[in-house]
Amino acid sequence: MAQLEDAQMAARQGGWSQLEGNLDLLRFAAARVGWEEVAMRSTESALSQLVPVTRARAHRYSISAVCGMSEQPLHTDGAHMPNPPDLVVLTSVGTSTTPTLLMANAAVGDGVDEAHDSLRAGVFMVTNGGRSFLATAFSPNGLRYDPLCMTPCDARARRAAAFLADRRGLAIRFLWDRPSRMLIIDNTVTMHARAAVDVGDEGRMLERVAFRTRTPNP
Amino acid sequence: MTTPPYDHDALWIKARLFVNRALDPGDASFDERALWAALALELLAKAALARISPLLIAVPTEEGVNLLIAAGVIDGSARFTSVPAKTLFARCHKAFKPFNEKQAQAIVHARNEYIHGARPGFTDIPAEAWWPRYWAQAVILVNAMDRQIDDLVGTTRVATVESHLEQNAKNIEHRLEMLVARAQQRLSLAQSGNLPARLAAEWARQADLTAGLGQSSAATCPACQSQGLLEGEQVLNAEPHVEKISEDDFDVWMDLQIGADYFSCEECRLVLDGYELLKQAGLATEFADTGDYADYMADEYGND
Repeated sequence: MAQLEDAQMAARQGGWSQLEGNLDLLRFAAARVGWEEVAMRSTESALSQLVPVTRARAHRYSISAVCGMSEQPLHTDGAHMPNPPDLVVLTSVGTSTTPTLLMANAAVGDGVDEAHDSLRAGVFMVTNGGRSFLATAFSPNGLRYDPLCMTPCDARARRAAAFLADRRGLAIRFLWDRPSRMLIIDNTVTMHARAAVDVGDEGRMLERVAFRTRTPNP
Repeated sequence: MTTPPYDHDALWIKARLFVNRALDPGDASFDERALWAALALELLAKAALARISPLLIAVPTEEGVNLLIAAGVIDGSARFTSVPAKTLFARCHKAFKPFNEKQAQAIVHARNEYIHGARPGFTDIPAEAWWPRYWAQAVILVNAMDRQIDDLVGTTRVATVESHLEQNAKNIEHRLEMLVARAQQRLSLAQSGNLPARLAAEWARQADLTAGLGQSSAATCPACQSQGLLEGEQVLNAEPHVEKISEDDFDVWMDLQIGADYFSCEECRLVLDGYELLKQAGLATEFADTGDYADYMADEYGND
């Protein structure tokens, strides 16, 4: 449990951290400290198995439906939810040559410059079937951004979207070179994305569990 | 679950979006910006009231569907109807001093005329005069929600709004100076017999300048120092007052504290309509008055 909380603290400080271990044990430890598991769809379980699929085979409303095996856009998980998870844990089943891109603290700033002002003030339409709502990319609860479910509604939101898309060149590549590696992402400050699937790595599988570890601000 | 139509957070962020559209750089005309701003003002009013209780924006019908939906007793957000802008602003006027219902109604009236009527432009008031009046009301609603202007328009636009608010304060000061100066001039001409004939005839007619509001109190006129009349309707506080007249007889009345909204002077014909002008003139914005006990209290229980 101490290891879990240390990893959480490291993720809060640096945007992400890593752990060696087993996802089932992590989930058990997380439940003991009161973390709430968050399913990405209400009809699915909290544990997601992420495998690369072509656009034709992907779920109709998913990142894969747009990107297929290509590089995904940087995003935070659960941006389509009123209260997204604040922590995301990824682990690889086996190893994978396709890295996960990470961009931490893109939205951190004092809000005075245009870019950060736009993140805080630009309004997006967040589309989620019949449960769409308006939101900014940055709020007291941190960063919320997924260009595939968030449409800018005003000039500042368009500027915010352009700013975040621009961060791509600064993303680091997290390698899945050991089967027991776990990536803990602070989903309130860090965007992530799967790189384009390496040739021969089409069978890669990551497992993901997302958590709410704290009560969101109103 | 879909967002309820009376959700104050959802109303707030929609107001933010509309304000963004009103202020975004680009080729949009003042008319288009004012339209978005006017739409935002109504949403701000709804958000501020709904934050206190969603019932405050629900249309009360015989079967009570809107009230029941707003109270969360039944579902059916698709059927929910909210009160019109006129009602929203009247409630905001009572709930969030010094929100000026008349100024807000003027904005919404212009909006409706622009959308539905043949008027080619949003308003005859020039932009540099319109925005100060607009922001003066919007900021009151923002504060009513315990938020700051920064929360509504973003940090980089706060300075723009603040300059409009400063201009509004100057406008109120100038308006008061103008009204007082005009009243003094008129009185001086009337007393010296030098009023033009038409104006002298109007002066002689002694029109009733009072607003006819429920409560009133004497106050010194800031223009001519005669006794004028402060009026208001909003009861800010009511306390019973009991006085023994004789062994078996008591006089009971209510001591009231009233929010002032209007001042008029019969002597110089000065009229100050609105809280902001009263405050600028140094007149009391509250006054004491009395009311009937029966209007405020139910009969007390007694062991007899």
